[in-house]
Amino acid sequence: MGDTVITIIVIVLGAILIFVFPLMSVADRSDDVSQLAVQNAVSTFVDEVRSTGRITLESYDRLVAELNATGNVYDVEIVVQILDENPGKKTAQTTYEKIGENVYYAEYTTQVLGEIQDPDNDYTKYLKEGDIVSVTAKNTNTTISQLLRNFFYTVTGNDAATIGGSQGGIVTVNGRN
Amino acid sequence: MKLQGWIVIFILIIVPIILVTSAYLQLQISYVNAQSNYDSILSNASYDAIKAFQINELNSNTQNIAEEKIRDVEASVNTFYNSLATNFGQAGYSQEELSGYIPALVYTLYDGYYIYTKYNNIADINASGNTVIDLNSNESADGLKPYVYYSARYREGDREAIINYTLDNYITVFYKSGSGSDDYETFSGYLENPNDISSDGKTYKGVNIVEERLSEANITSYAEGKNNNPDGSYDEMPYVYVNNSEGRREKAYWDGSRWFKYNVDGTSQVFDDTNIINELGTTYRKDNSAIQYLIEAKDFSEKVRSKLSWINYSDIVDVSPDDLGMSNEMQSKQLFDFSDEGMENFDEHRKQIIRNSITTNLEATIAKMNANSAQSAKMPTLSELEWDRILNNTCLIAFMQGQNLGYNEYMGYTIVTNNLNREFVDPKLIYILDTSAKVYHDFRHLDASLPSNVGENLIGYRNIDFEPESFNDATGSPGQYYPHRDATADYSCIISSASLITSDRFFCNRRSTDI
Repeated sequence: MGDTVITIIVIVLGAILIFVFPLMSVADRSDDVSQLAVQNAVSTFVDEVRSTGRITLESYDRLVAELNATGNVYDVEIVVQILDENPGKKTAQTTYEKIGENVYYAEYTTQVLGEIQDPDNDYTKYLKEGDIVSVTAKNTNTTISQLLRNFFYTVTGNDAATIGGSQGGIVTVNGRN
Repeated sequence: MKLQGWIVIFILIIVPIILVTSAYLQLQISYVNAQSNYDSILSNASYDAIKAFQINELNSNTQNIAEEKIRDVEASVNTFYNSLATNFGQAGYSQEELSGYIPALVYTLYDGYYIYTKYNNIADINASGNTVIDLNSNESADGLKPYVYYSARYREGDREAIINYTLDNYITVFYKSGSGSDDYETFSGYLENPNDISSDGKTYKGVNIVEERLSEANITSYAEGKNNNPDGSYDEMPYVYVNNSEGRREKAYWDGSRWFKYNVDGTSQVFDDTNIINELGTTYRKDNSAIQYLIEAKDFSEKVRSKLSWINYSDIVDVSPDDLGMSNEMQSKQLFDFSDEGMENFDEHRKQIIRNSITTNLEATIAKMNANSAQSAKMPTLSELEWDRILNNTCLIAFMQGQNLGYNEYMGYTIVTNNLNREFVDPKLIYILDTSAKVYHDFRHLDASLPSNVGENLIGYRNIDFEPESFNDATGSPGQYYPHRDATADYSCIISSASLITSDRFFCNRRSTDI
């Protein structure tokens, strides 16, 4: 009787050691690789926007395609902070377009997407020197690694995203030229 | 015990060890990840700050005025914090919240530097309405400390001289020749070996210096081209450099019948200063600023030689020669020795002064930061390579410290060089425009790339002159144009720098040729 119990325990432990740990490890590595790919895609997108002054539907679609290629589903948030020159114009400043002195107003994902999906805008949102663009991508599905972790540790919570990339920076050219 | 029993015991011992080790490794990985993440955030923010500084400076023509410089630096600091907040995913966080982690931002400029940090001497208005300054106050505010010049003081007996150094060979001397209160003298200029320059300024080290026909597009010629040409092409307008009454260099454009300049608000204006009108004349002439430079440098250097030859390196006061890293042999030498070796020593000394000044002030700043902040800050040691960048360019040194990373607190710094500015141009960033081929080159590539009949077709411009200029037209919408519209960068020297030769070799090869 004792032998049987111990044998079952050994089989269970053996199964865990042989299957679950390697699976967790492989799943973790797969998430790491996705993480790298996501960060890379987001950085490329933001750098392109910064150096061209334009957010185009084509580049956005490319970003989404690159993200989807990792096999997960992502939520992409775009925030554009636009340099408002008006307060500078109202006061007697000689250079009202000075970056860093003026206030910003923000436009968020829905507004930006609305603009770049509009044929009237040539599927493009134009930015100017000094605007700030930042993009964050987080996974919304549960990856195998998250699933296993939730099962074993039950500490991460069900909705904590493990793969994510963010990048932001100042736009360096006027997009309308 | 049976084999199964041993296996269970083995697993019970090994599994916890593996779990703990993997947790430890995971922590280490996340620590390293967080650290590299913070590093990239800091360098992104610094890069943005420098980019904003460059764009602001490019778009403004008042950058030589002291208050304007402060404005530019403060605007750049705001951009730094803006970018930092954006990158931390905390957009909306104020400067105060983030400033606790930023012990200092150092903007090294052409002849000195600003440090943006916390300070205590805040002026308050007391109950009776008077302004009081409590130097021992615990209250602190963030701001720019007063501009610090790269200066050094030398004394021998009653004679005393304070020399302000810059990133190049321009120096300002405050000289006191005796104990009387009236015998003060101030003079400034570029230091060159006077023996290398002919008295008319047209020969330098055996190379003939000629006048140049400088030209570029400006708002006027751009607007004319846009209105008159169907393809929107625009012409370049000739210009020369003149010194205005405040001693600042300005561009005087020739529109075919008169000389004019642009005001700070972008409007054009004919010169009204009689000295400048006399200097420019009523007909077009080529730019002779290189010749003027050499004549002034020769005069200045001869004056320095006659008045300041008494200074030895060991006469420096306020800092010991040993702290500057001067050898005993060097201490006994003359400061203004115009031989090749003497000029090299002088250059070395100039760099030591700049380095010492920045280090001393930064240490004091960081010590003060510790008194004013909950986070403890430490002064990192900069490597020689990093110092080399600081001493040869204007740049931003940004420090960020104190964020909790699990094991340890984050401590990082970044140095971003600003090689696109008006106040200092690295000689390597003066590009030579071949006006016939409409291609511009790095000067170290001239040998291979250009025809032997150099001269009229080759004109030197600063790298900043090839950057697009932004402006707002009459309707207020932004636009930009290239001052040298047709010029393209040469692939083999500027884009890829594959064909560059070192400057020494270049000068050896080309010494006898006209440039």
